[in-house]
Amino acid sequence: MSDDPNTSSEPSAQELVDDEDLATWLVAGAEKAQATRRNFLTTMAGAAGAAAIASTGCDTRLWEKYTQKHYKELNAADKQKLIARVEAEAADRYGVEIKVGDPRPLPGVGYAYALNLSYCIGCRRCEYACARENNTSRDPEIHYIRVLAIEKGTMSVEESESDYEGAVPSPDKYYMPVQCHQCDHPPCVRACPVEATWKEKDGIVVVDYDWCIGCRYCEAACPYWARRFNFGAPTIRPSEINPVQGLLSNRLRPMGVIEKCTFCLHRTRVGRYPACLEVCPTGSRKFGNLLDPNSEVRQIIQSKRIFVFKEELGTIPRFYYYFD
Amino acid sequence: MGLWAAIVLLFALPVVASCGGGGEPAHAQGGEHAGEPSVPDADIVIPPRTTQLATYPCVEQCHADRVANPTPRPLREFHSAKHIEHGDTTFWCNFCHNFDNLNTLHLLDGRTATFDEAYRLCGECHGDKRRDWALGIHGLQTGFWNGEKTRRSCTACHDPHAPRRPRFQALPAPHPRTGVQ
Repeated sequence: MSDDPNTSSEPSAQELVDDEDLATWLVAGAEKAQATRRNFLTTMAGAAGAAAIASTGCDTRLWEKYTQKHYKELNAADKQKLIARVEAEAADRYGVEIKVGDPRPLPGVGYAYALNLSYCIGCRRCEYACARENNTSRDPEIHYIRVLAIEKGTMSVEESESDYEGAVPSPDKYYMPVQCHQCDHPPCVRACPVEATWKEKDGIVVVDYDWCIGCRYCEAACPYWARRFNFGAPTIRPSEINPVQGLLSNRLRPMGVIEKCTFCLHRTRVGRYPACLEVCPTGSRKFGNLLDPNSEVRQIIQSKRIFVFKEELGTIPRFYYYFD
Repeated sequence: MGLWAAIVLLFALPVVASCGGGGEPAHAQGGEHAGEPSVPDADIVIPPRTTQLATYPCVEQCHADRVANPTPRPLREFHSAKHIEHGDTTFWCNFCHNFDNLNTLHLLDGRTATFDEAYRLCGECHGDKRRDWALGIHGLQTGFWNGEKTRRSCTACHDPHAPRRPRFQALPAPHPRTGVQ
């Protein structure tokens, strides 16, 4: 047998197919396959972009979305562009005017949270205040906080329930709200294959919603079940949208990205308390600067018997529970 | 005998002196918060209580000519809706209210506190809560963690006549969508 393709006994595509147009298409395809993958992808992206430009009209915005860089690589101008795009998208999708900011960590500040389990009555006011503040989806309902009702006299999380109803507090239960613990050794951050989530200088673990690929590895890695996934585009009434938004916290999310509690960084980085704290009718939630010896959380750590949830995992949470 | 008297005097004198010394500054200061845990900082606002009380000021509205009766009894004419579920039935009005001036409360040592300063009175029995409250770790605080905050006084959350808070309905559990819909 000869190696020369010209003398091969195999029939060519042209000979096999009677339809002349189809044959031309097949030959063209074979030639294209010889191009490098990068060239191919570039061509396709260009074609898709061109198609989008032709069809939708929101040309530059879509182009920016596809060429969006990682949050950490954005310079001031890029960030302004991104903020403008996010605001324009909100106007398009929900018809609301929002104000997106990007507060950065304050120097000399490391946040921590303390929660008094003796006082918590499990009324779920914090869950709903959080949803309102953070613009989470209402259907399916996404709540960053999960309140566990645990049998008194036990610390068994496995036997706890989070779907209790009715009058609270139940006489034989105590209540343990669980949300993101902003761990110092966050397993979720290590699980992310694209570095779309990271820990900031003030201890808050954030997500770049534009970089997240939606693989949900972080959701599986979190031992506190603190991450939530947008299976659909978040549904939320325009009248209920909180217009004060942060780029890394409560801005309106797209479909297919992960989200989580950020200690309301758009509030706390300008000095305010988180929304869940301010709504608590029992005052069992305390928040402050871990590096300030006079802060409320430091007073609690000094004077109460605190514990952290699942300490044995070595996640070093910034969320402390205590009884008093 | 003289020697014994001298020895007794030697031991007794410092005790008397220390008692006097200990009692003196509290009276000498005469300040409203002498001997009490630290008062709130300057950047802490405590919302006033007196503006929310419908029958305040008590003296001007009713008690100018009506003398309060310190005898425990069922109240039929006035304050009949008040049920004292506090102090295991040992309390009567004058345990906290100052019958010499009904616009104020009285502390255990005879000093008075306004209705806006209920924490001074409550703290006399509930010292642990009073200390935590002064540190900002008991009760609800809103505002700024690094600046001006609003701190609620005891009576903003607890009814002083029945401080145990009633049970109430939990908001419904969230319903994440299950399955394909």
